[in-house]
Amino acid sequence: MFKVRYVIKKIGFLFITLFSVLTFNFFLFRILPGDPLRLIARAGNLSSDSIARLNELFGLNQPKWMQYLIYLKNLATGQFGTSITFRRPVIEILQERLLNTAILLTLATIIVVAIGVGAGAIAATRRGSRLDNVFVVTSMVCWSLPTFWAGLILIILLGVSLSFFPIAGISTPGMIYFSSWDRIMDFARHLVLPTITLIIVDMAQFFMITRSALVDVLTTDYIHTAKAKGLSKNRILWKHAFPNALLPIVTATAVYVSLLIGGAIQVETVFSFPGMGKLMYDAVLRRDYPILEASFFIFAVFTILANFISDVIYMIIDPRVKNV
Amino acid sequence: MNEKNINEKNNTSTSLILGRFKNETWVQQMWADPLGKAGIIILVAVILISIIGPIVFPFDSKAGDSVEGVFRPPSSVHWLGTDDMGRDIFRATLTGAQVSLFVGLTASAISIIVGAIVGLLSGYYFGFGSNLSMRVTDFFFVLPVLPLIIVLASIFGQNIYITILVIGLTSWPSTARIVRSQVLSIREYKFIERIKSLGATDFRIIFAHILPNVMPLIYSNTVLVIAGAILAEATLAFLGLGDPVRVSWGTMLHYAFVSGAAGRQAWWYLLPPGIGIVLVVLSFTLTGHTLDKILNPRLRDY
Amino acid sequence: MTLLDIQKLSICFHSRAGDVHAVDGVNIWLEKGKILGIAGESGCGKSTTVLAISRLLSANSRISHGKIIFKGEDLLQKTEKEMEAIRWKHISVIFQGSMNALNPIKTVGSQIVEPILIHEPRTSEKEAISRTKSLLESVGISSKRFSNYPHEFSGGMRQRAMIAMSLSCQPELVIADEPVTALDVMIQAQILELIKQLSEKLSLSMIMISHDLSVLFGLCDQIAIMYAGRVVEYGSANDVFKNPIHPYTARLMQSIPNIFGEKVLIDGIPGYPPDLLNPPVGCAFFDRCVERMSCCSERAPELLNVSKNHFSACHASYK
Repeated sequence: MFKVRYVIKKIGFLFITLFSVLTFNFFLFRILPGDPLRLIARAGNLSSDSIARLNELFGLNQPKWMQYLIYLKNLATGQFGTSITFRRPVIEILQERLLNTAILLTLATIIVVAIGVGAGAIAATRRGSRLDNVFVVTSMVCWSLPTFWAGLILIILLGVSLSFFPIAGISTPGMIYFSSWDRIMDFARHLVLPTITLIIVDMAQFFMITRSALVDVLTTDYIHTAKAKGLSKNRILWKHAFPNALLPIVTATAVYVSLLIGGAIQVETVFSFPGMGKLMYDAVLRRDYPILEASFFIFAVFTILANFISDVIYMIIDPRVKNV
Repeated sequence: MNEKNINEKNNTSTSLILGRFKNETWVQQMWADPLGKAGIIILVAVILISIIGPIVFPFDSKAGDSVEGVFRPPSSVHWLGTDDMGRDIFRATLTGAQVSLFVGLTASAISIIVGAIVGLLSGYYFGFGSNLSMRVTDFFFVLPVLPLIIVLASIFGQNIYITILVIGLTSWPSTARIVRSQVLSIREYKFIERIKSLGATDFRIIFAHILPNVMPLIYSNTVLVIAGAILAEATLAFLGLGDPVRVSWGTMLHYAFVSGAAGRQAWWYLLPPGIGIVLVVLSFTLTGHTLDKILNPRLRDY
Repeated sequence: MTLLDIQKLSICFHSRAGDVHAVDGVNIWLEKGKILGIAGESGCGKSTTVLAISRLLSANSRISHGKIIFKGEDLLQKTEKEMEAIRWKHISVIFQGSMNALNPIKTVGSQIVEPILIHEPRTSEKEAISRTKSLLESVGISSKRFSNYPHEFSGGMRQRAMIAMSLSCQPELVIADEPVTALDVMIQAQILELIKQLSEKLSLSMIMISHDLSVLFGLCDQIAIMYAGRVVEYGSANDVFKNPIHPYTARLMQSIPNIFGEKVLIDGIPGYPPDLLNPPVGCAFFDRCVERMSCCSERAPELLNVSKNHFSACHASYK
């Protein structure tokens, strides 16, 4: 298959990009003003032993390129450094937080895609109608909401006044769990508000992309031909229009991931949700550079991977992509 | 020498893509669309308020009441209540408008100018420089935006100009990409060949001939960029990375959050700056949406 | 037997500037087994008229008046669902061969099989595929290219595929809307030859639209000339070619260069067609007509039989 060569080329680019991010990260965090040692070990005085060990571990006495190689080696072995605030290896902290964020984002994305695509299809097929206008204006208002603000308003409306849903953390303090099911339910209740906030803001983006992709496709000649063939409206929409609209939708998904990550950071901050986003926020407050560096890297890797996957999916769907 | 005449005769500038509707400019067309009209009205209103407001109702960030004056709901003295330090929220909101708009618009200007130039040059020229700039653009495009600006702001400092630079220098890739792909196709139009054979310099070709044809796309991209920049500034400020001295809407919300306004149900503290942000961004989104419809007739509803 | 009878059809398009009267009181008819050509300049309403038969007009159009009688039934009275059953099975369309006339992400073969399976549900997929393959062969495309995508076909091949597709359900009426306009001259000739052969072999009833008269004269039995949304002349191809009655047709004939005769300066028709936002009360050709009389600007002429089955809409021709 010719396309195999295309995929291999894309994988090559993937690695080059990952590598560039690594390098970018390296330089970014090492142009910090001030003594790097002081930043790594802010607690106060260090014994000369510790200083020597830190120096060795991070190669701070060595020329920059040597430091770079040590950095790469550390990354490869999962050594992201030690957090200043938590005094623990960064990698441990990452592992704890990653799952929470992953659950939050996956849940939000599933619902966002379902609503966004469904509403987008309805709006596109009823272009110009009152329903379409309502959808479009609503989604524009939602898109204009700062995610963190939407969260704050939800807290006031649903969390505090009505006390339906918890507004912080992932478990109710002091609660005793009688079974795993209880634990899961408690977790789920804590997920509700953050997820709803994400859905409200991010669904707008998906809706607009789907709608404009479909509108574009529905005005093409081949859809006209399909109508002339006596195909039903449903068939035209789902079997002819949609597969073509998927192309720009898949391309736009890559940008969507960036939006999603930004949303996660804001939502986790507002709801004190212990995930990667809150981790980054706390790290910023306390200038915990090892965590900042590592979390930036993780987010970047995800975005790059998402881009790569969307490129590959695009290639699978579109027969016009040749073995360039 | 006769280049200018040819340009006028051949109709090869803006009307290539703009497709004027008989005798209406696009501003008039936008006014005719209800969403576009709403967008323009809101935008003009906000800009006027942000200019006149702080002059009529100046805000003193240091003036605060004693402890009793803190977190007061709206009253006849303080129209929108007081914040966590007893300051008047109404005045703070007006001043915040100025700061938020200033940062948003300046950062966007940087972003669009850099993006357009990179897009024009890398689209027009072939070779190493063009490829390199395309790779750099793609690289930045692929980085997650909020983490990037958070990291940059936390490293380089909390100062309004740094914020502007950080936002501006992380959003140019989208403009660059769009401009570049448009330039790639315009470059092939025959009139470019003709003008070249008349001895036009590259500079003239790019800026006097290609650029006008790219402008419509830049316009509709501009609107999105500005909306994004205002949201970005608000988010940065909310997360505590804004300029502590210049109070923007995002900063107000930051202080609201850390002082527990949500828990105290101090809606008068949370609503005004948030609604301000939403209105400004919405006005740009509405105008952008209408602009898209004008530029691409296929998107029009009948 | 009259297969299709369009009676006094009027169609408007709504636009921000007002209502455009694209088609105004058009009368056109087609006998079974014959080929009708409709000619006219861009914007004269020929595509609009013909696409209205299958009700394929855009959302901002409105059929304000008229009947379209097909096999004895008025299609304008049919519901959308009924039209879906009629399309392709009884009336198919060959569109202009633009880049995008075929769905770019589906194979050519599957696009031809699809209407067969929809309109003849008792056909098995295997049967449909083999029918499609022989259709492809009959238009000169190797059946091995069944699984190719449209972008892998040349312009001429895509048009052949469109022709094959239009015949897939063996319709009674085939509409060809500028089928060769997008092709270069050599390919044009091939495609026209193909259409000629197929129409003879299958005794097709066809309506072909073109702004190029030379394309129509070689192929059609009847010709209708349209101008500014109205039919101005209608007759057999021979009659219209040799004895054009309407002044517009006469000028059109004059403007076709003769490769055999002496070199003559080509005479265009000065002026422009009227603005259809405010169509003229009288004859639409009044401003540009050399034979105009005072009554022409007051009353619109009707399409009347001037001599044996040769119709013209012109006051001057009744004399």
